[in-house]
Amino acid sequence: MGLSIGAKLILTFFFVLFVTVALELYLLFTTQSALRQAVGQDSVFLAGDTIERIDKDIFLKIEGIQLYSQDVSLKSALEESNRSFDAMENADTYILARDAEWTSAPKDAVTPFMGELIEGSLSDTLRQEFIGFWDRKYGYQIYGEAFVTNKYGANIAQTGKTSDYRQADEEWWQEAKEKGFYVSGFEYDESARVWSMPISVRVDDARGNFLGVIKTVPLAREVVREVEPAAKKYETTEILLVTPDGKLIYSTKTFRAFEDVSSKEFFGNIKPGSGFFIAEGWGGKEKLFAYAQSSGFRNFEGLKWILLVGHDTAEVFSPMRQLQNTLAITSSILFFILGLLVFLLARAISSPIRKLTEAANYIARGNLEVRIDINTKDEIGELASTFNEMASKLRRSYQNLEGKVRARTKELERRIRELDKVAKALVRRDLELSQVRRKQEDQLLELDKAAKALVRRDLELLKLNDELQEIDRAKSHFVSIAAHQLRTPLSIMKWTFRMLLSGDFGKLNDEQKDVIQRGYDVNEGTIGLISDLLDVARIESGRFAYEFSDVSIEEIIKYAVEMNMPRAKERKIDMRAIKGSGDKVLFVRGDKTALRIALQNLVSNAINYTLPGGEVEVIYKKNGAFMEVRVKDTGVGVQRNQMGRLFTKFFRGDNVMRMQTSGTGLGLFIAKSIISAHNGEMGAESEEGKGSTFWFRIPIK
Amino acid sequence: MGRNKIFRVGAICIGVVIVVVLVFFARIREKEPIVIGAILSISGPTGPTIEGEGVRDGMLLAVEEINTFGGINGSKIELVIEDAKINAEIGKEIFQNMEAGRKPLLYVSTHSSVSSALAPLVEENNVVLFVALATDPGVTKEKEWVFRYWPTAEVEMPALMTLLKATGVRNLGVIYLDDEFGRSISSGLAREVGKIGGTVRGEPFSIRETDFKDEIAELSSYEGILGVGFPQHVKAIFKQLRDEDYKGNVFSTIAAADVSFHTLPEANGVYITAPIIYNPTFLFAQGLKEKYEARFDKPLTYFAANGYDLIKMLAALLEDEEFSRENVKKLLEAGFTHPGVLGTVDVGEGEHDMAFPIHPAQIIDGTVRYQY
Repeated sequence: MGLSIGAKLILTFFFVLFVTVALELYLLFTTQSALRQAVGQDSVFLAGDTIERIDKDIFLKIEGIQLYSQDVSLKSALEESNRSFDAMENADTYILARDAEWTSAPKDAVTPFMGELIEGSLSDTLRQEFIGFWDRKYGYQIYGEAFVTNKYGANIAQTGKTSDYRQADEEWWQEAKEKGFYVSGFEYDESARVWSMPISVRVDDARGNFLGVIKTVPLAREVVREVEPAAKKYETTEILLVTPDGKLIYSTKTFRAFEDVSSKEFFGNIKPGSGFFIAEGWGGKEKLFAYAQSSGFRNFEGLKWILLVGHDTAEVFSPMRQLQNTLAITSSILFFILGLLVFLLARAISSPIRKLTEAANYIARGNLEVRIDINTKDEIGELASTFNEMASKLRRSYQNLEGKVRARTKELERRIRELDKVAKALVRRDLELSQVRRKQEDQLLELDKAAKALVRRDLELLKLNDELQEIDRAKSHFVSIAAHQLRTPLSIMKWTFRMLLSGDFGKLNDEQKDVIQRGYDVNEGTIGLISDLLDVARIESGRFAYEFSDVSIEEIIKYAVEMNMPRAKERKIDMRAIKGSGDKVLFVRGDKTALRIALQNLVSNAINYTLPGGEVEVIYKKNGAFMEVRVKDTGVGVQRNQMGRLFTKFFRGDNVMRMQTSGTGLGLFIAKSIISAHNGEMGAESEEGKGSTFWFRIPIK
Repeated sequence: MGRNKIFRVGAICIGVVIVVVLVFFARIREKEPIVIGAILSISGPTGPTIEGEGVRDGMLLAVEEINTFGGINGSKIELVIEDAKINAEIGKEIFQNMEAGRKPLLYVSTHSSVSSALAPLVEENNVVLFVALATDPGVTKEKEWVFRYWPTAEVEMPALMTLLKATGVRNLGVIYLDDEFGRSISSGLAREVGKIGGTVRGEPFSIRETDFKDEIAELSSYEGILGVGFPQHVKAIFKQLRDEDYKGNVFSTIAAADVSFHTLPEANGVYITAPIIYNPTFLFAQGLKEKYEARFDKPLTYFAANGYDLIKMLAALLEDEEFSRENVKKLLEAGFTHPGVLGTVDVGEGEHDMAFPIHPAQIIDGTVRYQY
């Protein structure tokens, strides 16, 4: 895997950091070089200008003394002194004696001879011209002292006590006498107790004859200090005046006169002419030194001093330091902020990507619940949102799939369980079957035995049946014969009773009539029984002769109703026939007599088993291809448990039996047999105590 | 490398770079500071002392300048200032505490009474005491470790004599604080004036004296009266001389050179000895004046200039040198020249008294005019 985005961003940051720091360092380096060059050149100019001013100042003082050397009173005083010394027999001896006297006096003592010189009028003039003048001019001393010697080198006037009286042996005196003026350089004047830079000027008369020497002792440091303020360019500016051999003769800081600085680093950098350099000064401080050498002014050739102007680089380059510090601080802050931003940006980029990656890994491992918590409004936020949406969809899709799989699995498991059950059941069943088979085999064996027994029994039964049928036929035949044989006498009896009742054999009293009537009724019942028995016998023997013709059902109904009307009225039963609306006169193919019998039985039963005040309706109507006839009564009805035996022979309901009505129990059997012979069907609906409906339907012609 | 590790390494690198850059540019080079114990009398029996405050402020300004540019040999100066209240006992107690605590490289003190009391202690502890504002000759007398940077009566004398000569005063009355300085001035003048045929009469007073009418009455017939004491004494003498309608010339020492005298009506026309600092043509003090006024919002006094010079002098001497008590003494005794803001000071080898130049002057119309 290559570098991550975060790592790339951080590397970029470091690259930018490196480039910026390099540019800053380059900028600082070039700026510091330019500043160093500018300050250096400026300081060189300053050093040159300062040493020139010193030279000029010294020259002006020489010039001032030279001017004073032309003073008439001075010359006059010198001429007078020279004349008096000329007049001496041995002036040198006199001078030596006076000098010995002078130098042998206590250091601070002023001898009368000295006092005379100091308090002389020329001395007053010297004080006024030099010391006083400069004091007035500057407000502080420039000259430590001044004195005048005659041509013999003896003091003739002085502003203070000098160290000795005889000056002719002094270098300055001789040099001044020879060359016109002499600047002795930087020295400690014992008599004036100051560091000075004595200037000596020869005094001549109008003809150029040597008269003497005037010497002034300017305070050397003050001469230099006059130019110092202009040279103090910086707080740390230090001005050093050194001799060519490295003796320090002045410094703007505390110093030791004539300290040897030739071994110092800065001195070693001084080259002929002028220039500048950076070297260590005192206190380990780095300084920028510029230097220039004294070259004199006009006819003053200078003292070959080297003037150094030094500034602490800490101050000179403080703008650079400030720039450095500002750059360092601002850069650091910027880099810190930038680094932080880069870091945060890297994290801001990498973290979501890492989250995305982790989330993708989670998803890859099947955890579809994972969501990325990134709510930024940027592309990453959008990506995260899309990712979450994708994950959601995946999760839903997976859930659906999982649901289906779960359902299928469940179904499969259920089926497996069922199959298992079935298998077990099958096994069980197989076992059972085996047992059953064994049982069946046993049973078969038994059945075989039983079948064989049954066969034997069937054979016996068939034989018995044949015997029974034979008996039945014999019975039927007997009944038929008996009934037939009984009919005739019964018919005779009937007609006899009727004739008796009708008075054909004489008028009968009421008792007779009653008895005859009861006989008649019993006879009628017996005739009916015989008739029924004959019918049943014919039906069972198949000898019931049906003669089929087109029969008007309406007529059949009408016959039955009319035949039973008297009985109905007698029992105070409202009976009526009801025809289906719209039906024309309907015809069926049947045996008119048989149908009359069948219907007669139904209507008769209805009247018999309906209590007085009840109703009997005979309803007939076309029902599809059938003619349907319903005989409905409000009679006693049939007990539910006896409905199955309704059409069997000799059946009479228990409730009917309790009514003590007459009946053979054959009427319904006969009726049903007749209807069946007409390819019809018959049934009954009854509720005990509420009535019954007996119906039959037979095909319409 | 894991991403988290990359981030951690990146963060550490950024931190290191920032620290390196800061260290590189800041160039932190802290060394042990040079401790200077300043037992100054910033206040006295009558309240704050302008001279003590001046020395303190001048020292503070010098220390700030030096420290701004790196200190001495890389070490900053730490000035530990305590107020001795012109009380010798307090001064000694401060010294003992400082010795037990910070143990300074050297001590600076002001005022003769306190400095005289400290002298035996510094001798005993072998530590330099650099004294300012102390005129008592005895402060440094026969002392190995005590140095003074202040003009003594001896230094005052030539300037006073110049003034007396210039004014033609031959008989002089001296009203002086009865201390070593006052007595030295009085006796010294008596000697010098006697040389030129004049006479001097001294009238001493105690440090708490405020009424000088009796002394003035005694000396009213003299051609000139010189007031010697602390500034507050001198001001009172001037005032009372005016009140008594004294007609002669009035003189004073450097004590009256302070700026607080310049605009006093009773000081107008008074002859004084003064450091060069008030001379407008003396350009070397101009820069300090401007800085001082900007820093403290008050005029530069020569007391402050003295404190400033004192520190600058010490700082220059200690450059490239070992910071030890023995070495400080050695450096001060070696002799040197100090071009200070109060003028150039030449110190000979072994000298313990060093003084800035003082000049004869006169206060005229609110300014100091130098007289030669």
